Amino acid sequence: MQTISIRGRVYNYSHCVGRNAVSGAGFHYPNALARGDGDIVYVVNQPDELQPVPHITKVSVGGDWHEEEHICDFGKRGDGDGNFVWPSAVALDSQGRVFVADEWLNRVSIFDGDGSFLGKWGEAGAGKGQLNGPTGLAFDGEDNVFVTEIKSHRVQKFTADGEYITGWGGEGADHGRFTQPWGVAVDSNDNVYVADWHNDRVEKFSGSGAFLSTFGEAGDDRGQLRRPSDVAVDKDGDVYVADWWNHKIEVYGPDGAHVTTFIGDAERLSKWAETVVESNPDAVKARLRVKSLEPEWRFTRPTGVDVGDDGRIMVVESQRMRIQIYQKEENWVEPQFNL
Amino acid sequence: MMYSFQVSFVRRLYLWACRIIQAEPFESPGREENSVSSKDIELMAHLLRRAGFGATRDELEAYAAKGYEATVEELVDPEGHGIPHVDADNFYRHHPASENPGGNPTNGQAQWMYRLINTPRPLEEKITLFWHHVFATGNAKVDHCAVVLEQIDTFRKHGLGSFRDLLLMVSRDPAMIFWLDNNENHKHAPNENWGRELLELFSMGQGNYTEQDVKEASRAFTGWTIEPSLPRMPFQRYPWYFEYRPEDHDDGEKVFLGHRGRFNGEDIIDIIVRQPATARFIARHLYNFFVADEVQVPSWQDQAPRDPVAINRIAETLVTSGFDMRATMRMLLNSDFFKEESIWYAKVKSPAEIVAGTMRLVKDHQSPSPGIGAIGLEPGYQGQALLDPPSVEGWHTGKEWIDSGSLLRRINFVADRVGDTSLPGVRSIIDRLSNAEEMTAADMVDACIDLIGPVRVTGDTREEIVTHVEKGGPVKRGSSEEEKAVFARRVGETLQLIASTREYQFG
Repeated sequence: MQTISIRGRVYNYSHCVGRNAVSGAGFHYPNALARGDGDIVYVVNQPDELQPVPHITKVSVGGDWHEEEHICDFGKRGDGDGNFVWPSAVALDSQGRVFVADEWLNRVSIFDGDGSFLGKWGEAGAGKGQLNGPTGLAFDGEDNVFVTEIKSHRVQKFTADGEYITGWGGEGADHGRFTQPWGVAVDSNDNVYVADWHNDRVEKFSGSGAFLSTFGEAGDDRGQLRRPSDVAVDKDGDVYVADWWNHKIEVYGPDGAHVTTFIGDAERLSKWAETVVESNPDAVKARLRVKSLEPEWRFTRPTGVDVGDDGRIMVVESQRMRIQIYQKEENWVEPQFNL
Repeated sequence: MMYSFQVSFVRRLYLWACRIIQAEPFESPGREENSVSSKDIELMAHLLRRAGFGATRDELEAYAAKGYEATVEELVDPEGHGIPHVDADNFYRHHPASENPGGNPTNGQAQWMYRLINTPRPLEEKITLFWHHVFATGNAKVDHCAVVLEQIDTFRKHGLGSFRDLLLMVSRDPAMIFWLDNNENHKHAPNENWGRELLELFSMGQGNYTEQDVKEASRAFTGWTIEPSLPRMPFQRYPWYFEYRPEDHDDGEKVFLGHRGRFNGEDIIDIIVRQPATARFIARHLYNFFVADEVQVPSWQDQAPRDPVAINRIAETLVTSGFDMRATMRMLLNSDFFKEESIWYAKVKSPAEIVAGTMRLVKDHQSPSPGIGAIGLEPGYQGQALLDPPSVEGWHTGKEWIDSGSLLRRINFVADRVGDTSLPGVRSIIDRLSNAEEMTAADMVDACIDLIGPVRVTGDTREEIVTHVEKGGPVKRGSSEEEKAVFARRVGETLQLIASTREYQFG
């Protein structure tokens, strides 16, 4: 697919995975994802008021088109162990355990990689070490976990067992403060990046909470942000921000300079999506009568972004129920121009 | 014991309300029968019931401090007064399905209900509901709730602007085009559904145009259609967009309401808004929605308005202001006929008013939370499924909101909420009463009547409530937690009784 070469980086579009489904092969208003080993991805599916089916989907996204496989779903609506009301974030520790935050129940549930419930922690409240609307999760290199909270507008750092370490923030727009933060990420130096949703920016901190810098500014143009929902950092320090309101991914260098913008490139249907279309002759015909299929390719409400050391950037979209995958290339050699 | 109390309590409410609804058109009980609050507060409560969805006592006091005319000005021009919008982004973040609900309206109804409950711009949302009544478009046929919600958003953004412009926007609205088949209205095969309803229900009313006018209007709107969109599978639905196809438009000469020309749709709308019948028709709609219940729309050609002078004043303002809805609403809400006490409680609250008003009173669902879908469905259970009116004629209003099923539903819904002493709005009333001096059962009833509205109740009604409260023994606020809990429960029960009175069911 298309190649984006800019400022010393090369990105190729890989493929997409997903379709609209309340369970099984597909996603339901997904709002976060986390990568496991290899091709494994865990996706958080939000409930809706008609079909309250919160759950986690474990999929293998494959390495290329039509290699995706649905592995399992886990969790259901409820406040019992292993269940969810408003699952909001997912992250994996170094042992591959899956941590899921629940914004409504104010707790973090822990599962093994196959979805078996292992435990939970979290006490509702706005005090230190309590949870008040947890919306983002990210582990550092020492298996400590950072949790963002929408209601207390802060970040807290816990051990994987839920023991409070430190926290910072509070409501506001000054440096070091937040307004309704959402996603969080940790880079290879254990710096912390927070998608400061209602302040239209990303803030960067040291692992102990010292403010370092901000990324992005409020706006709708390339390089600008409006209601950023998630952030990820690759091994080179490049920062990927899901610009929820503007339906794009913004890429910044480690210095905060804007690098490029992804707008979604799913020109080819995923395997699951193709199955749905091909089983309905009217859908095939309806696709023929539109002026362009381009609206289908583009991101609609990207809610989660993650990147691994393999340079694969995965973006999940809550209104298109899919993951789009880009590859950051290494050692890319441009072909002869006049080939 | 508790169960039997509840059964008898609900039965009592039911019988009571049956008596209320079977009554003849409401007569103002008169201030001398029971007047427990200042006239300023009562008038402000009337204004906020009609131009909004009611208000808590704290809100009424804040509005009253600003003054009546200043409050009207803020209501009709919230943008100019810096009144914020509902934080829709935060709602979509937590309820993504409400942004693109698909075929079932539940998630869309949840979105609108959240706005109705939380808007700091009550008239903006009330006029949105008004236009939804007039330009009734139903998801049952459209089967794409997001585009119906887009129409609602048009009402929200432009409902207090120019009626002429709004009529043009509605003519280009994809939900309306599909609802009334204008996408099937072709140059060589006209479909008259949109053209007919444009004249009959959306602007002039029956008796003010001919069948030939319907045909000519329909010809003028040929080629006004919707661009084909991607199908709903496999990734959810896509927006619909208006499309004008000149090759499918009948560009021939037309004769419409005595005017001759090669009219397109916009020309038709310009002719329509110059008709005196249009001003009178919209004026009567406004009177029926904001002032006092009228007969149903189909009877308007046969039955004179309840207050012809008021209708004329509204119509005149429409004409002289160039059909500016803000100027018209400003005049209406400041008019003597609107402030006149004889029209207080002269309207049966619609289900949307009952539900949103109650939720605003008790201050529930003030931030995104699970369960808003059930609240959004509630008006439908009471006979008014938002986003899904029964036909293009909209809902029949007034007493027709009430039948044996909807009545019990209305009472139970309100009673469940105002009796929930954990809710912040109920708690606020209890706290105010807790600060009062010693009180008798009658004092508590009067205070609750004041704080829940204020509402005016007849002497008989008040006596009945007082008698019920007295059966629970002397009123004690008490100092122990147990005594405070008993007091709170009794306040909640009193509020339940008041909320099921005729006066609470009327707006």
